[in-house]
Formats: sequence, structure tokens, C-alpha cells
Amino acid sequence: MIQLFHIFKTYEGNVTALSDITLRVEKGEFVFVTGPSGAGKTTLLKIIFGSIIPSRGSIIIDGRNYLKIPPRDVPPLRRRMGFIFQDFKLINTRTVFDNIALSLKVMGMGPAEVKKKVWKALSYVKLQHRANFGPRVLSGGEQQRVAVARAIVKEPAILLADEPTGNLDPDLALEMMEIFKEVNSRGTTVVVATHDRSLIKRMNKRTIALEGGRLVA
Amino acid sequence: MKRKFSLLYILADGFRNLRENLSLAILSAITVGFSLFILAFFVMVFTNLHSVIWQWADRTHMVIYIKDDATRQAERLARTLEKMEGIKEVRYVSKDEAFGLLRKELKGMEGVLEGIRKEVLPASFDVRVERELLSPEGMDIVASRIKRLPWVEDIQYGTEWVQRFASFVRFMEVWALVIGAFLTGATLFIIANTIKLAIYSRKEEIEIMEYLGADDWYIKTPFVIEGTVQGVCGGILAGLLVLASQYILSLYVPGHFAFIIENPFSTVALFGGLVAAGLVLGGVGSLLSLSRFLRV
Repeated sequence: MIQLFHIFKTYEGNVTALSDITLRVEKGEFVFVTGPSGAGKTTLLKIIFGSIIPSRGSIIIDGRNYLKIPPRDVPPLRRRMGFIFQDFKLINTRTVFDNIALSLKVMGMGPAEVKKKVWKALSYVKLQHRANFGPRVLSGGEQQRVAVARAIVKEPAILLADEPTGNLDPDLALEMMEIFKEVNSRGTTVVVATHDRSLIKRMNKRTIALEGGRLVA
Repeated sequence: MKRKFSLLYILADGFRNLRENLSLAILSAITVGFSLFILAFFVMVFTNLHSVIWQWADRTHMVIYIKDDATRQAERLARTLEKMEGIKEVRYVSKDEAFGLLRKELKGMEGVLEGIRKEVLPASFDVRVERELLSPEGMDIVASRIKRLPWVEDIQYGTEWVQRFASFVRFMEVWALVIGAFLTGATLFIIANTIKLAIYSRKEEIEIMEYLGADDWYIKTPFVIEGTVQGVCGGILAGLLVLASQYILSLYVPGHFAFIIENPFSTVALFGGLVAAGLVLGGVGSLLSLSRFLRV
């Protein structure tokens, strides 16, 4: 379970990104975070992920105060989460296969199992034919799918996706949502930030709306 | 089991990184090599100068003239002196030998010695003191101890020369320390920044690994392996540069100055020392530089 209490985030230059956000996402829930550009969606996801520290407030994930966790306990928590970044964050010097495999290797998983899981994830996102390519030669949509495969391959407890369909055509975007639904059906809590209202309508899931850094719904 | 696989991945990552960033790795190794070479060359020249200075110093001695009635017990007296603290070497100069030496010194003017009996010159001990006492104060301490012996007539030693020598050594050592510290600082600065730049170019990769939940040691170790390999290669390069520069300089440096560029250490020690320095600098340098980039 993810709980946020009175979260404020102000960036340098007194730019307010989030203001007094209190929300709760149940374990195994599928939630959309929506709002126009600059509403604070990415900041909210990154705060849940722990890569941005809020200026004020507290976050409790699975009963633990996320802001009081000692640094050495952060990696194990991150291994339980999958994050799909808007800018993909793929390592350009490694192949698609290695980018996805890295997320399992850091967990200490054996090579045979890594191979099996990576191929499975690649088949989910329909990118088996790109396994040995470097991310640079892939299209934006393909890179996004690699990022999705890397996040779901470890079967995370929490999946956070920041505009995961931004570079995909409508059919692929829907397929991606189906993948998220399937991951969710296996018990993963899914939080997807998107401004694609039609996609949200089709999925019929709980939606958290942000505007100017405040919760509006 | 998990740890075993992680180690496997880390080793593979370390060597793959080296392969993938080969040009940068070679550049870093060359930088380490030249920096260590300059430092090693300075240490070599200074060690050689230092040892020559001490060879001069070893010529400093004290002359202890003994009373005539004690001459017959010279051997026993020599043993007493040898046992005293701070005395390195004792040589007995008999009346005969003293007269012979004087005759040698007055070569061409031997007439001056006509009618003078050999026995007029006193027998003496030529004493060399330990290096740490080669200062006016040290010599005074040794002399005051010897003076207490009943058979000693007089003691002579060149305080002025010792004074000059001691201040020269102090001057040399202070400058060596200043230059050595400066060179060491510069070497560390250059190596640290080379490593930092290499790591900075892969800042994003480190950031991604953190996001994926890699432990600190999982991220750091491949870089440390890389830094260590670069450092070792740099150390070997520095050793080769020292040998090459010795050879080239030996063609131009006049014979009586050749001692300055001689290798005061064995080739194995030279390479061993430089490789060890490269290994430590590369490994520890990478580790320290990484700490800045972790926790993104």
C-alpha cells in the first residue's frame, strides 16, 4: 500500500510542483494519474519511487516511512519497484537484451533464469527481433517498449509508469495497457501517469487528477 | 548463490566496460603513467643525490690523540671506543704511521722534518660516527663522552664542516620535501580528475543502475576493476618511461654526473613500486570519485 500525507514539493527558484497531496493507493490497485503538462504527475511518481525527496510531508509504503529509510535499504526497495521513465533511461552502450537483463542481474538472478525471463518480456512487448540492437537504432516507440519490458521483467510489487504510451500509436498503446492489466492481475500495484483521456476512459480505472500541483479529483 | 552470480556479472561488466571505453581507458592509463613517471624520476634523482651526499659525510671523522703512556694498550682502547654508542668505525694510527703521513703531506719539503724524532707525534684513533650524529651537537655529545676517558690527550673534529654539512642536508631535505609534496599532490590531482572525468562520462549509466536497485558495491566494483587495471598499466608505462629516459639521458650526461640517473633500486623494485602505486591510485581513486555520483 502507498500512502502520501500532505506532500509538498518546491523546486529551486520557488517553483511549486506539488502542494498538499494526500492520497492512498491500495495494494494491487490500478490507478491513473492525470492532468495537463506541468501538473506535477512526474514529480508525484518520482516521489513515490524515492528519486525525488519532497519538501514536506511523508510517504508510507508497505508500512515503512520511505523518508526515514537508511541509504543501504534503498536498493532492495527499488528492486521491488518498476519505473517506466518518460525519457526511457536506457543504457545506450548495451543491447536491448542487456538493458532488460540488468534489472534482473542486480537482483543476483542466475544467467539461465535471466535469459528465460528477458525473452518472455521481449515477447510481451513484441521486440524479440530487436534483442541484439542498441537502443540508439530503435524508434521512440520501440525504446519505450524496452523500458516497459525492463520494468515488468522483474515482476515488481509496484509498477510506476510515466507517460508510457506517449510515443506509441493508439493500437500499441492499448496493447501496452493490456500488459499493465495483466501485470496488475498478478498482484502488482500499477500507477500510470498519462494525459491521454481516451485511454483512461477505455480502461475504466480509478483516476487521480492533478492541476497546478494540487489534487483536483 | 545470488552473491556468486553478482560477482560473475560484476567481473564481466568491469572487463566489458574496459573494452567498450578502450580509448578513454588507454588515455587514463597514459595519464597515470606520465604522472607516476615524473614522480618516480624525481625520487630517483633525489635518492641518488642523497646517497652521494652521505658518501661525503662518511668521510667526516674525529681524531682522538692518546697519551704516550697509553700507546701500548692501543688494541684494548680501540675496543673500548668501538663499544661506545654512536661510534661506527675506529682505526688506530700509530706514531710511525702518523709520521709517515706527515712526511707524505710535506712531500718536497721533507727537510722541515730533519732532526725530528718519530716519537714526537702522538698516536691517535681515527673515529667515524654514526650518520644520525653527524651534526655539531651530535659530534659534541660523542666527543664529551670520549673526553671522559683518562687516556685521551685531545680530540679534534671539524665543527665548521659538520655545521655546513648539516645545514646543507637540511636544506636539501626541506626542498626535496616541498618539491616531493608538490609533485605528489599534482600526481594525485591529475589522476583523481582523470578518473573523475571517465566516471562523469558514464554518470547516466550509474544513475540508471541505481534506479534499477543495484547495490552500491554492484555499481562501484566494475569501475574499481577498471581503475585498477588502468592504474597497473599506467605503473608499467611509468617504469618503461623511467628506463627509457635513463637510457636516453645516459647518452648525453657526462660520465661524472651519470650517478644522478642511475637506478637506485632494482628493476623489479622499480616496477613493483610503480605498479603498486598505480594499482592503489587507480582503485582507491575510482572508489572515492564514485562516492560523489552515487545516491542520485
